Amino acid sequence: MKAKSKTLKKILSATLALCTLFGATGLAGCGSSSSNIQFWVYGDESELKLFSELTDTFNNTYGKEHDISVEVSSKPVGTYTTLIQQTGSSRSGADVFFVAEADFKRYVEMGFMTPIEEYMSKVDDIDVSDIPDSMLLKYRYDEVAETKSKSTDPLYGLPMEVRPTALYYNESMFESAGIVVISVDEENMDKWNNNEIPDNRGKYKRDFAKLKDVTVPKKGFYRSDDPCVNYGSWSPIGNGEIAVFNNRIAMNWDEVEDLARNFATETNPQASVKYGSDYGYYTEWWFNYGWSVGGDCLADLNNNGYWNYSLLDPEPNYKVNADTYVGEYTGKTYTKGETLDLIDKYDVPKGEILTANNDGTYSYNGKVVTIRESVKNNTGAEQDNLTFVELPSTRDAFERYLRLGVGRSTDIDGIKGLSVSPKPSYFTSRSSVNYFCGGKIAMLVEQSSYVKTISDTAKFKWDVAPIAVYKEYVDESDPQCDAVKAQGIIAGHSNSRGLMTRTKSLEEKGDQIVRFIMWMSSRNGGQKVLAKQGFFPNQESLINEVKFGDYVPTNIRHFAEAMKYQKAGDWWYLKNFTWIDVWAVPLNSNVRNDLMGYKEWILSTVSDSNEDLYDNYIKAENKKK
Amino acid sequence: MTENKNKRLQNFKNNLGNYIITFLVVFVVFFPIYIVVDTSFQTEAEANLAEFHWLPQQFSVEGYVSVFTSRLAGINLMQGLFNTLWIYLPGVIIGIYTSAMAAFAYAKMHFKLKNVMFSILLSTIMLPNSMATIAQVLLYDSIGWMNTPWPLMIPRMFGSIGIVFFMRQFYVKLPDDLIDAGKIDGLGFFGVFNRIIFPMSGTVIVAQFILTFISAYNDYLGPLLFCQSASMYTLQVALAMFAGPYAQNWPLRMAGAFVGMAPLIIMYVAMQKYIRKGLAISSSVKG
Amino acid sequence: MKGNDKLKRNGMKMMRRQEEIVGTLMAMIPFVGFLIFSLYPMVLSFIVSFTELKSYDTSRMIFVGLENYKFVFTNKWVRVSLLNTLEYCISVPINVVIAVFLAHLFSKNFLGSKFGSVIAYLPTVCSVVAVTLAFQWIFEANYGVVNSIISSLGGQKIDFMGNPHWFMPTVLVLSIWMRGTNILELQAAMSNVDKSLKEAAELDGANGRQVFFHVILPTISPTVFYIFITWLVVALQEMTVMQLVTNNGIGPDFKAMTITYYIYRMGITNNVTEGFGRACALSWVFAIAVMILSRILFKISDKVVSYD
Repeated sequence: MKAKSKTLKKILSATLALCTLFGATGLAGCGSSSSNIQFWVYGDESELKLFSELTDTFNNTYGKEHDISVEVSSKPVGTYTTLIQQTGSSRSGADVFFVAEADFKRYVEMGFMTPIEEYMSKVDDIDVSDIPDSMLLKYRYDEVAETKSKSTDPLYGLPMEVRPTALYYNESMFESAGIVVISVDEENMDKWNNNEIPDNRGKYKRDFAKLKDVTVPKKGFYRSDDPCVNYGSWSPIGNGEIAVFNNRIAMNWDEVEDLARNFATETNPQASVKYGSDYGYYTEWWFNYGWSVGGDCLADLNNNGYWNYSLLDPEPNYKVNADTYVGEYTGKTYTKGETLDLIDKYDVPKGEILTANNDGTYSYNGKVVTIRESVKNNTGAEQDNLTFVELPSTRDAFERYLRLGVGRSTDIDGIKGLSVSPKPSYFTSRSSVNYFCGGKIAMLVEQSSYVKTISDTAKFKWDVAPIAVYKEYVDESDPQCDAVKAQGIIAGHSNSRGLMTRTKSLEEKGDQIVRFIMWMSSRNGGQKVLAKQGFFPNQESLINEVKFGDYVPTNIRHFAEAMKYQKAGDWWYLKNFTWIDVWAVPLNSNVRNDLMGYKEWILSTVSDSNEDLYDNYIKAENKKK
Repeated sequence: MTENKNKRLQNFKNNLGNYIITFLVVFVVFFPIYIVVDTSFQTEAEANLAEFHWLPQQFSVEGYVSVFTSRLAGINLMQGLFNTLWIYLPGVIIGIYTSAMAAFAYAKMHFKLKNVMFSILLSTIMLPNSMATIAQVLLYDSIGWMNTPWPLMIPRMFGSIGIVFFMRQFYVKLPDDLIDAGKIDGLGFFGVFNRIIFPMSGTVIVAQFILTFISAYNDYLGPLLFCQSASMYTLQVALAMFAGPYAQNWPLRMAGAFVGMAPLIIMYVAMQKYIRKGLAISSSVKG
Repeated sequence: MKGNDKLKRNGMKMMRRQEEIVGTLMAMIPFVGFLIFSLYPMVLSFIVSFTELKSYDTSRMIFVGLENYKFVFTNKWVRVSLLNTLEYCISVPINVVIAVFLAHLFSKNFLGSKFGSVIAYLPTVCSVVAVTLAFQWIFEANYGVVNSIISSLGGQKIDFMGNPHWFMPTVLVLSIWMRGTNILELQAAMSNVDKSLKEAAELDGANGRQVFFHVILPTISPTVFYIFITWLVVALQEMTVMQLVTNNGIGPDFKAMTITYYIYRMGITNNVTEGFGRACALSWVFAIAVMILSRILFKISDKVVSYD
């Protein structure tokens, strides 16, 4: 026993001595960093490579000239935001870091950030004026007003890169279902149909034997005999039937559902045998439905800064079809393509107040409110050139989205679900991208960041196409008819990352930090490097320079086009998420998984969300005082 | 001969239930670990498909190669392991010594504040932890310990309440004669502890050392927060880098996880005898 | 003689004084560590529980009195998360029973018994993250291990982690696995069981089961109880596993939201709306509740558990 303990003692003291020794060398190493700006990043392998290349380029060019050196330090992605928050107010921490759209307003509210415009105005040798306003808006916030950001709010950072969304589709699967895939822009369709020009992949119409006797209409998805319209009867694509998928034109809701049903086992039992797929289509976001009809989940109910949860607004949306229109209540000037605010759409006399009901409807004077006569009477089809075009209600759009995934016996407002999408709860281990790569889903709406993974993994032909949009044809019963009666708004979300700094760092070395941030997001600085590596830059003018590595989806430019209209999601609207949580969590975990009735969900969540928003409104009002 | 055989057969029959249960236990314990290993030997493309295979379709060591060669965090895994060792070992070792010393005092010595101090220490085990991180950041930032390994080293050197509690159980049971014998040799209490008591607590100390080291080894938030320079990243921080922000590289993640836990598994299997003994000596817990 | 006596007494006194000083010093180190490194967080969290604080910057504290405590006792989510936490604690008695059973089994002498007991403890050393990832894949809703087996047998797939009814049982399996059925301590206790008692019982014709329930179990009951309490305290503060298993930390129908996670959520994720004040208030209330609970359990144990 004793001998043993002596050896133990010896081992212990030897270890200690060694540790102290190595500790000293280790410490010497950590104290010697000469860089004056700490840049904390996270990302996948290719992104991390990009960030070191960016900082190297900066250090060797602009940084050298101005005596600024930047050290990049990568952090685990899972705890990045926590880490930034926890070290936000401390002396030692990041000088420049990423801020996701969803975190930005929270960080400002936590009090460790300062606007950088003042510093930016002093820098005259970097030009960032070509970053579009829509991009900058994502990093503007008025701490006092606490409403959705305006273009005059203080600017806290600059965008680093953008990740637009698109519809990824399994082209091999389409082909085995007998669908012809073409890539023709809408304005070129006539010429292409006449065999005058090839499509974007160099194919003429005559190259497709099947299309000999057909004029392909301007549609995202066309089938000659039996298209399914508005939940009407559906059958799989027949043997003699002509089906064409065009990856340059957005499908409408009917088309995407029709196409999806071919590949979902629930609707087409043959799917798993014939194509190996289980699901037709998956989109995690309601934006491409709700935004497409001009709706949103938040509305400034009485034009006074009190935000109201408006996703369940049951009345149609009115899109302005005239050049301008002045709202009757707000006096706001709408331009062509915008939709009316609730208070301008509903029949409420000026100075009176619109109130929200617990079922998603609105009341004025104790009665459920109706549409203004002046609006209703000036509404027609796109071609009629009246003041408005009527689009479905936000609620209709939202329900359409919900029915994609819920079971075929689940009732959403009188219409049963389609069950063409997997349930969101499935994605705890393998993600929707894994499902797509495994050939289990035919179509998937996702961000541009997955291009690389899918290229590396998918063993089939795939490409990207525009996200589905609301579009109503003049004659829905005629498959050839492509004249549009009501065109929804092309919409979708993109995610972006901003570069920001902390007050503590700014006070110490603000000028150098802001120069680095500006260089990173400027056309001639970081953005050029970034585009060459296959990332999407802030500047539209650089988009043609984006170079993807090994696999280039032929329709890659769709991402660039999407960037122009895609915007930040609902997580960015306000500084808190609790108003989203109260409805989104039961929605995603219960309703979309067939575990809770839609009606029950409405009654249990609308008032909660509104209460939460009202609390915030009151607090903001008090703060202003 | 046949009788012997029969006896063996009988023995086997009697124990059949035990064998089945043992087999089940081994299976249940190993199955998740097997899944980790199975995935780690797949190609990235295979693991990315949403399909389960009992064996990798295409055996690949790519995951392991990247684990050892990739420098995602600016350091490689071996450096991470090295950092873990030099940052944590001094604290763990000195901490066990100081804990044992305190445990001895609480067990065998008489002083006025003994009961007060001990009950205060005991009650802290239950106290809320939610402000710990923010308070630590405030504290270490104000004394300039951020971005140094001190926050992970120094507090541990003061010992831990759990070990004090545990070692005390062991010392309470030691006969007083031992101490008296030491005193006759002219040793003070400190001398008795140092020369007689501490050396003879070998097994208990080894058990405590292993259990403490396991928790230190798995510490993640501490090094993330305080060792901000990549040169000080510990193994756990380096491993966390293998989780991707978008799609996961499953073989890489699983290979990393397996490489990360392998040292502990080896250490446990090699030392389980001491852990067992150490626990047995100080086990019978009373009130 | 008298002088000698005095000297001796003086010596005793000196010894006493020496013991007093050395003892205090020796016992002091962990206590000082506690004062420096743990008391400060505690005091701070107590102060913060009476304020509104929405960032890590304590200079932004605003005193609000008992507001946060009022919130804790009236908030709906506190109740929801408390219920989830209690439901999760079901795993503890199950785990204790399994552990006692296995400890008993492996302390018998048969081929593989020792191997079994080494293996049964192994999960404790495994990395929580790696194991959770493996379990997620095992219980994946469509193509995971269990569902591949189920569907190849022609059964209906189960959405283990997405269905609120299946969620908790799945998490229980995972956490029972991870606690590694801490049988080493139980076996240690069992090895201390008096052999003669066992033999006497066997001579009286008691069968294995009777020996276990009447001889072994009473002797190891303090250890069993000790393990039960420590696991219970850990289980009451559970959040890591649930956070890893679900992607959003909330789970189906808020099932993954435990008290500790709710505290974390108020402090980290929703700090701007909820804030540290509420988080601290809830954690104090919860800690005191746990302390009272364990006191009560110890009181009960005095009656039930035999300390011979």
